[in-house]
Amino acid sequence: MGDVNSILTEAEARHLMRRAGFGASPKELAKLAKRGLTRGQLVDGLLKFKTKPLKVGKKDGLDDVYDRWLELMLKTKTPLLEKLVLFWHDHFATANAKVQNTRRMAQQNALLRTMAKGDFGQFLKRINKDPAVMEFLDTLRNNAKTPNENYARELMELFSLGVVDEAGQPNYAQEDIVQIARAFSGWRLDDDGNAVFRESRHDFNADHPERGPKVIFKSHGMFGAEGVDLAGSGEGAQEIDAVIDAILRHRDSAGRSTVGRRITRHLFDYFAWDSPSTALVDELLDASGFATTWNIGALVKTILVHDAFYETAVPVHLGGTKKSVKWPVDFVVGTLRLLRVAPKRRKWLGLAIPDRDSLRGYLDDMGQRLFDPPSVFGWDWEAAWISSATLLARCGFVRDVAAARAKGKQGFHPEKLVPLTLQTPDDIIDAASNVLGIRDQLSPSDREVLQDYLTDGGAVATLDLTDAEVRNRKLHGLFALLMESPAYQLH
Amino acid sequence: MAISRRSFLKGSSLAAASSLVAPALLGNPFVRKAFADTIGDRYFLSVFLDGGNDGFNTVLPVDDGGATLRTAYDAARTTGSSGINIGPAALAGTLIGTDPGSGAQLALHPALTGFKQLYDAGKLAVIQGCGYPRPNLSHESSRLAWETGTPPGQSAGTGWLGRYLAANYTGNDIPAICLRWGLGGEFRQTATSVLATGRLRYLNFPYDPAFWDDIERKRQAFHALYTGAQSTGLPIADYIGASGIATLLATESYAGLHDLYESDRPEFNQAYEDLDERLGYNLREAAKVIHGIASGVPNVHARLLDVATGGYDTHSDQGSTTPDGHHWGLLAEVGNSLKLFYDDCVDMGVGDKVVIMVWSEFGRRVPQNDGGTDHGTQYPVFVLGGAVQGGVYGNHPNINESALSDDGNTVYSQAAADPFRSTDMRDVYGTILKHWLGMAHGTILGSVLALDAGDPAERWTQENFDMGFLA
Amino acid sequence: MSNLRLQFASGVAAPTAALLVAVAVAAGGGRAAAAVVGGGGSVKTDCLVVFDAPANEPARRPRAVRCTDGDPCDADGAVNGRCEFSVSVCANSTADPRCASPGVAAVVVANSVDDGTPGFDPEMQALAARLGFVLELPETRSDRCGAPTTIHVAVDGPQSNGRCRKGVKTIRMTAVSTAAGGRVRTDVDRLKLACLPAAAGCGARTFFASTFDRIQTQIFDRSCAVGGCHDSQSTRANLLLERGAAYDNLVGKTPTNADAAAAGWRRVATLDAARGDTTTSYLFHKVTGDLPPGFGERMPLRRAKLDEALIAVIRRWIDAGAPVDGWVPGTD
Repeated sequence: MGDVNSILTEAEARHLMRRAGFGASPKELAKLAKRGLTRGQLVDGLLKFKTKPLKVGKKDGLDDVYDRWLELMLKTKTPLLEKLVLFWHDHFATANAKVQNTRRMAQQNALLRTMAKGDFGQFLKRINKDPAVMEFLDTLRNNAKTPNENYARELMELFSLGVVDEAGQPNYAQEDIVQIARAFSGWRLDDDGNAVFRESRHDFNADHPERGPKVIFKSHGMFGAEGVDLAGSGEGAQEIDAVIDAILRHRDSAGRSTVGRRITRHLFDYFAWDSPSTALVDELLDASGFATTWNIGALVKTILVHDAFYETAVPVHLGGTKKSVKWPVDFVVGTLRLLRVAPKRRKWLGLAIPDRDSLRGYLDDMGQRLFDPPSVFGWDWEAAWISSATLLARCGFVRDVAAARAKGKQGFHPEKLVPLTLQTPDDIIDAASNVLGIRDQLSPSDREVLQDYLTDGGAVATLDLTDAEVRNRKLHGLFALLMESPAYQLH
Repeated sequence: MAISRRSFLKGSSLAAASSLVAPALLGNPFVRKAFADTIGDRYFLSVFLDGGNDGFNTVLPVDDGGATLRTAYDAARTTGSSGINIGPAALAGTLIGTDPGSGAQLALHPALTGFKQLYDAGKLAVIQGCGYPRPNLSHESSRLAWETGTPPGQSAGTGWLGRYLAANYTGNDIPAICLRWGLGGEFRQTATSVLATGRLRYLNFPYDPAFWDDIERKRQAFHALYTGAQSTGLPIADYIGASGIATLLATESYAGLHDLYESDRPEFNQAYEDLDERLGYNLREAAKVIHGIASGVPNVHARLLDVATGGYDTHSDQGSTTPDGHHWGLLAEVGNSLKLFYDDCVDMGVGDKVVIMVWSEFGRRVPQNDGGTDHGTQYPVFVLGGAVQGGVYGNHPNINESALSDDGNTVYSQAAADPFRSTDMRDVYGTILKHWLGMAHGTILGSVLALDAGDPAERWTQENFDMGFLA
Repeated sequence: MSNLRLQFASGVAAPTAALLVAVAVAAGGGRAAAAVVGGGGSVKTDCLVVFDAPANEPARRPRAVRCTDGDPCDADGAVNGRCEFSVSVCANSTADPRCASPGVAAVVVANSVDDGTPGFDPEMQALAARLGFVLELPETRSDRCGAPTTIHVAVDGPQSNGRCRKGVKTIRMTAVSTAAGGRVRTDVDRLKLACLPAAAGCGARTFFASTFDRIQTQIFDRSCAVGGCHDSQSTRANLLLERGAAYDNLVGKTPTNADAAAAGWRRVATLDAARGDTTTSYLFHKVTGDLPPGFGERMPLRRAKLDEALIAVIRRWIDAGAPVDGWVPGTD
């Protein structure tokens, strides 16, 4: 059993960097090993980031902003920040397909960065007024005459409480959605794209007595029969925050913090494995203090130092059952970082595929277009990432990377990653799979297959990697097979 | 495998720009759905005319009938040097039926002689006035509306055929193929896989093209790695293993269809060469797939097909009135290519098994600009095939100037008594789903096409999935 | 991307950098004064795509078109404020024996895609569409030429000083070859077309049919109904200002801006058939920039203000009741 003070083994450190970042090179891992860090120390280091918004040029279209984010992920020294921004992008899923506004999408990305490890309650309050969310979930179309319930519903169902609690009991009623929608009515954007409250569009109790008072959670949330009066401290602009305050105080059928449990579960799903027991969720929630402090960073740290997280490192062939399918963006960014291939933004000249002027196209084919999640539910994870279509897209990307023989940083140069003095197939497989971080994940039969490939079915015993022809043929080929391998699709 | 991997790369050092595409979305392929063999031994082909086809110069009123269609047409479209008005005399050879609403005599554009032959044979349905409420004039937004089968702003993101596929197929099935360099949006979904390749001969599993002689080794290794993963006992790993094998075999099988067609069907292969039209070449790829399925090639099952051709955004120098004009050429391409493809299908013995729908993202404005036309709204859809009940369906839109919107476009109407009542795209889709793809009426409304809310005169609140063009 | 991409697959190699060395070879036969214009780039790759255009400048090796409005080089033959040229594009040209095209994998014509980006030009689209119509990519057949399309270049004016200046339009295109010997080559070409005002041919009545035709042609077509703005692709503010739609969308119509609508303004406010009111005409305020808070921004958005003389044309036109036909005094 380990805890926050356990010294990380190399395998644990590699795994932590894989899940909380985009992987680490053997050199980085060696450095970490030398320092003898504890779980807590390494996680603290990963969480020690300052947030800066993406730089957005005046003429940038969404593709430019997307490219900038990809470039940032490829170069970042604070990968956990990017992993958290990806998580929140999925959690507060907002699609430019509907928003149709580059500036607002970039503005939302900046908010996700600012709040990535911050106060979740404040985060929700700012999401309420985020222009892209207001457009995407129809806050802008919510007014006194015809309240629009879309945002009220999604706020509770997806952003905070969830439809049901850990015991399967409902967390809210339709009436709560109706009253929350009223509280959100009248919010618009000014010419500069800032949320402003338009009293004339707001639904006041006195104007619509037939709708009843704006009281919510009369039958859910453990507030008692009187519920929470959203107009308790006056009607108007303050109601929008009162909704969040009430949601944060919501207790589920077990009397526990509903939001606390749900966000803990969701973050654990993301970093570790899906379907943790309620007992584990509660243990993490209590240990982090999240339900009182709402400090996301503390919750993330609690997860990443827990033994349950490290169960995910066990390889499939040794009985590991907690593996997770890499997100496409993880697959692409992680691969390029580990192989030290640095395509120029918007120019994928190393590969010179004319219809691939950005990594965006590869990601599209793999089923993930950032800034355009398929719906407010975000992306489907795990098995939904894999189909004949998306798997071929992954192999296509691998082929293009492995065949990128351009000079300089845009090309793939395995000779700089693997010592050319190695001769036996076993050593070469060790070295190459170590670069990709999956040496320990390969099964004995995987290794046999790869040895067979390197030796042309046993026709040769050793390889001379100093021979460029051998490298070009077999070392590039080995890397391609490793990246295509089932083991590399998982992490 | 009987097909040598080398042959996939034959004749070029080109990297495959092909892909299997299933961006994002609904449904979990992990849950294997009951396979309902709804399309049976039939095929469905979507032909997309990219850019917005000028419907008013595709199906034209020859006279006024009981209204003023021809008069209004002549008022909106000029003759002369940059004119695009086609006179009654030029239409004499391509007359079809009369407009159900006004009784006006209708004709196809004179370039559509191929369609005229199909019409006369009773194999072509002309479905006039197709559109959707609150039309959008943006190419993307309107194409999305047509692809998804939902009016702008209500899109679920999935295509109308995608939702059909999701209800019937699972992750590693490949029930559909797009014969273009990208995914046809009507197939978008995530529950199953759709193959996309412009040319089957360039389709190959993505191997490093620099070392052809190493490909056989790589294939063996890939196959072995994924075979190993199929039996780990961990469901997600096993699923990935099965996916890899299915993917590998599919790319190889589809690639082989090119050679098979060329060797089995030399005469038709040459006929497409002689026609020398882009759409004809694209349709030949579709014919290769159909021939492959009909011949029982393993791993080839894509009975829903898609091709596209472009050049229809005729803002400038439209060229409708003479054979060297651009729009004339486009329509000749459509008519002649589809006629040849239909003949090919008949010759393959599947003439009655293939239904083809020809659509665009919108029509064009009634009044012309300088020498072209800007974005419009309703336009005629064509459905053809041996099983199609030919004829004219739906009304010609009202093109009288007084009836047009401020933008100069025809207005969508669902008012039952309106002689110019529009045809909602969803009635066309629903009729195809019900009468060709074997989906139950209630299932269509429940899982593929959703009725609009609102004024029944201006919204699609009452479906008609029995339009009649398919029995 | 505002460029039409006619494209096929690809090769694994970096495109070569293109040198800007122009080459042109006079073609025999064909239309009078027509020439095959390589369009620029290395001699060895300049034949991937070429222009077939009435190039006449410089005289010895013409690679640009320069024409005076109404001269024989102007296909419409009239002094009407614009020149008309017939241009087509050919792939895999054999006109210059020094260049052997390995085949064309992709051609991009600038400003030819109607996707809402500024700079979209329907005539570039028409040019690209005609080429696309005859290509089966990767195209290896020689001298595949799109049908000629009509390109118009308007004389710039009349300006506020009553003068006209030459108008210029440049066609830009890039072709990418199929991989030959592992290398992909690119051919970057441009063709400049210029229309010069005729000696005594600068005047509103010479160029336009009416006051509103002048507003449509000189203001809306050029500055409003353009990519990303009030064209049918984008229809910003639900306002379409294309020819044939603009008048009906303006006169007597309520603006979409809520504050302007609440104030009772109209896009163009008329009082009767012969009188209008610029003070409550949103169009007029939008182009002058004299807008109360909440009424939105000056048009054209983030671009130079319209010429004062053109703003005066709009003012006089509205004051005269915004007639659809005829000339309002002082607007010619």
